Amino acid sequence: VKTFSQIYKESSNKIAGIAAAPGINIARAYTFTKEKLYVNDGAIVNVEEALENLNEAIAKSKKELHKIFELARTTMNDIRAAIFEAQMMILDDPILIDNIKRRITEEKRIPEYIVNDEISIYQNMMRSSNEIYMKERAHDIEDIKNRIIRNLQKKRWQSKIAENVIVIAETLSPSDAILFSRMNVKDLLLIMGDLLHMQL
Amino acid sequence: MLMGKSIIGVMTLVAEMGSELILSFKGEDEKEAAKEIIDYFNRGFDEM
Repeated sequence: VKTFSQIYKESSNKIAGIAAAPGINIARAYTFTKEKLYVNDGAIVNVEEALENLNEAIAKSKKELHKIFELARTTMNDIRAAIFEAQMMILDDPILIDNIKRRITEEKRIPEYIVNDEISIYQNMMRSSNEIYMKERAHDIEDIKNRIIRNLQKKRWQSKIAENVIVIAETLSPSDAILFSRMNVKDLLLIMGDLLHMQL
Repeated sequence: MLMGKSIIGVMTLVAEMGSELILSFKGEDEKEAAKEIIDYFNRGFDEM
């Protein structure tokens, strides 16, 4: 990495201004697009089996989050890592989980539809707030919602990317950012950076 | 009315600064719980 003053000295085409970053990184670009999650809808016959699938998906999500939380505590401070602890608490939320289970039983619809619908209700409440802080919390919840749905679909998320690249992403969830921090990522370029206050 | 044990409920309460809240405690350790929460509010949620 060359510093700005080095580059400035060597350069023939100079632009004056204040640098917001400590230097310049040059590496191959890697565009990270999250695999789009499609939420299915459909009727179920076996409610017990559906509830069992839900419990499994929640347990799996907890396990994943626990791992990410431990990783976060080693790569950043405890206050920043606390976001993952909050996500784990959402998985233990008695009102939310009971509502989801009750709706599966009553509406006899597949769990992923109910999970998506129920959590989206809360997200819409947060998005309608005038406080930017609240709007951002809706984004945090997206992470946990998608995690449960993905586990219900028994899919895995991509967690490995090429090394020594500059990651370009529209937006990154906190857990994506943590997984990238484990790899040798040179830099990060976020198109919607304002949603995420996180550094690698 | 919402249950304090529900983190998502507390989040969507959208209790912004200056909001007025009425808290009630019920249970075996209600006195201790109330004392803890009052302390927590008075400490500025450990953020001040």
